[in-house]
Amino acid sequence: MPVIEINNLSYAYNGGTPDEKKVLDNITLSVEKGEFLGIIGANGSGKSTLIQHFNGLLYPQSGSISVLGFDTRDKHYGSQLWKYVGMVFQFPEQQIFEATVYDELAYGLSNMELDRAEIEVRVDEALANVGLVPEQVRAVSPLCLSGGMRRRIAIASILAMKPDILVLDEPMAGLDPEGCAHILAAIKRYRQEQDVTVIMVSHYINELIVLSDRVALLDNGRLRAWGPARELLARDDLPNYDLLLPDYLKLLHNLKKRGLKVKTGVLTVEEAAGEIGRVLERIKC
Amino acid sequence: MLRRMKLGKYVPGNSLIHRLDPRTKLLGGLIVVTAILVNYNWPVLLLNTGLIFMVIFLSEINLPSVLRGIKWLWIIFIFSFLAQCVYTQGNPLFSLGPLTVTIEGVYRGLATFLRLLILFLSSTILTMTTSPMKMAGGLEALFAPLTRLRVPVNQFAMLVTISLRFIPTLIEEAETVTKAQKSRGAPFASPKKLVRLKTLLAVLIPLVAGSLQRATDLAVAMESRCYTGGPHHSRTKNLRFGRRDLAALAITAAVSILPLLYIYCAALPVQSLQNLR
Repeated sequence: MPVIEINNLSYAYNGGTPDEKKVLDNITLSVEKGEFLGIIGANGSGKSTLIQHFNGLLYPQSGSISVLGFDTRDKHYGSQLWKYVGMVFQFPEQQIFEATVYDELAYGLSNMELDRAEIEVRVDEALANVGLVPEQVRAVSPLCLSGGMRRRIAIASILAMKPDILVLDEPMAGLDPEGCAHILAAIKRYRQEQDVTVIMVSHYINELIVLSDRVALLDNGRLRAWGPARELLARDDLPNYDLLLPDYLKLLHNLKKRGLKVKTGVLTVEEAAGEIGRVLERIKC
Repeated sequence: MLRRMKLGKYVPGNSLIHRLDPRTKLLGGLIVVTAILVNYNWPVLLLNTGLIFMVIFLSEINLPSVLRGIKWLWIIFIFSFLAQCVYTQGNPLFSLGPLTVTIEGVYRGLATFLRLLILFLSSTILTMTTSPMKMAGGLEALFAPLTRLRVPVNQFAMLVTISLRFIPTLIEEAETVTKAQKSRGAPFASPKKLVRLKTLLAVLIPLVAGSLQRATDLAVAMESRCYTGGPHHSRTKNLRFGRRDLAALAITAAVSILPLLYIYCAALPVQSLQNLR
């Protein structure tokens, strides 16, 4: 059963003014329960605008979107949607404002009107989930922590709300490899424990394709492709969309362009190496 | 609210008005505004209104969309018009219950409406057709004589440039943080005042913290490129005096003198009329 259903969704910024800009153009997409959907696309392709429709921050100007079975334009439902759809913005460390890590994580929870005991349990759980020791950081001021740690705290503040649908916008942008690993691990752990739907926008395509059940490719506000990662990567037009493709995929696509019969629908370096080995064998024969 | 603030945003273009020297536009705007503020005789108002609309036409800005974008200003326009109609003493035109509308009131109301419209449009067109960098350069050049009085004009110009540069960034950041806090259930529409205040802080604190961080980064970046606060370091200066192209200057001068002359002619009868009184 799909948890998100999007039909012919279009959206333009500054409608009716000289700067009108169409960002989403006739998008039809659905996300199944428990699925991991990856969204890729160049800068300005409409990814961030699309995901803001998922928790009712933006409403469709034409077309429709229903989340967890209800249309988001329903006033009473749309304003409660944040409880079920957790949204991690790009550079979420910017939103931190409380004096201590504990208060920061408790902010969303107290807005959900949970009781104190429940909040305390959830805060510790979420901190542990992102690889922090609750006893060490709970009373610390977030401003004293490093950028990577602050990012993890901001993500934990969403995870603590235990959303049914977790939406992440470039959660790893600008982090060192260790910080990336912590965040990826936290997302994987949360998925296993809660059986939730995850939607993630990322430029780290090699990480995303391994995690995703399906991948959607946006380009200039249009949905160019949508399906299992292997099928998407096998497309010959993939290099035309200004994506930061991993080197091994670029290599395979270039080889294919030169007339070699290679499969480009591979997910990892190892698979790519195997594919190249196979082709070399055939040439020798 | 935040979206509407983008109304006066610079719209890149290559029209006659866009190409004018920022000083010409600043002085021209100042003359128009002064003229309508010191005097609201019909010839002055109508000539200036005509001038403004001619400038809009020449600047190739989409006028209907500008007028539609200021919905909230129309309320002020109409309210002040109605207030003037009712509260001005004079020959009654018609009565509506206890309120009496006078002929003088209607004239005054119309005049006020036009003055507000000119004030608004002239400043909007100035910012819509002048890039922030050019604007700061123009201000710096206009205030240059004050350096003799030891006023730090160059630093002031840099200050203005930087503030203008960061306004869109701040607006964007405020929008993002607001959305992020909404996603954690921030009660922006709570009926309790204290709760709303706390919610506002959830947006303001990250904004201020971010701005301080950015200011520190910017200061380091400027110092590492040898900025010491003195003159001749800003890019606008180099643009104007370093890459002076005689042909371009000649055209700009010719183009900028025309509207100035026009304003001067429009302003002349004001003086003579006032003298007659």
